[in-house]
Amino acid sequence: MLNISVQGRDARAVAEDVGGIEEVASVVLLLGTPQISAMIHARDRTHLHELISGPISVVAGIAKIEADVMLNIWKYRSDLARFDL
Amino acid sequence: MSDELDEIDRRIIEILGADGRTSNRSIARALGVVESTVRKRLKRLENQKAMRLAVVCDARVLQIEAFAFLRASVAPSHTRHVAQWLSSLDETSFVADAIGQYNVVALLSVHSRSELADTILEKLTVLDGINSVEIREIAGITKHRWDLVRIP
Repeated sequence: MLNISVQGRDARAVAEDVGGIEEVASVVLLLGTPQISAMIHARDRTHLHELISGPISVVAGIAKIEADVMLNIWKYRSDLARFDL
Repeated sequence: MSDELDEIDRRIIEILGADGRTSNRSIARALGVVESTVRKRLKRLENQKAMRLAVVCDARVLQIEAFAFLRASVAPSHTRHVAQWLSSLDETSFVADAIGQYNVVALLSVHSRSELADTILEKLTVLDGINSVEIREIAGITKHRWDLVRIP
């Protein structure tokens, strides 16, 4: 999960750009800093690094990225979604 | 899930991703293979947890409209217990162990902000081993890929 801090651009526009990347499974807006949280599905650490240093890093307005790397997923409820997105 | 998927596997998933009720016969016809091939592959894909046919419901229909990330710093000896306990709650839709300042991360998906408050203020405070908790309330959802998940 990437915690993205935004500077100099509307956080919603940054969220849209980050969401345009295929490996990004979800993007949500937060109140405060960081303004965006994005869930990434990477194959491995190399792939994660490629995504962060590649397509994500070039999105305008990103001031800082912090990553929570998930070691073990205990619960992933997949029957809930929003169809209006 | 470990085995690599070939082109036919990917096409089957693509077709069922667009319409989960497509018949094996229609898939076979679209891919130019016999129906038994589709049936066997579907069974294998489900057995190896590469895919699953499931119902996805719009959260708003269930009046689930308040979301927040919970990040907790938990004593290492209690991590497993806390993660399992969080997983058992109806209020969580995602729970994981993580590396970093916070070693347990969960997504709370509930009906309202007051339910969010109840969960955080009543239920979490009774747990042993939690040093600190950070709540990040979600103000809006930009993207949610429900075709790509972790199958436990």
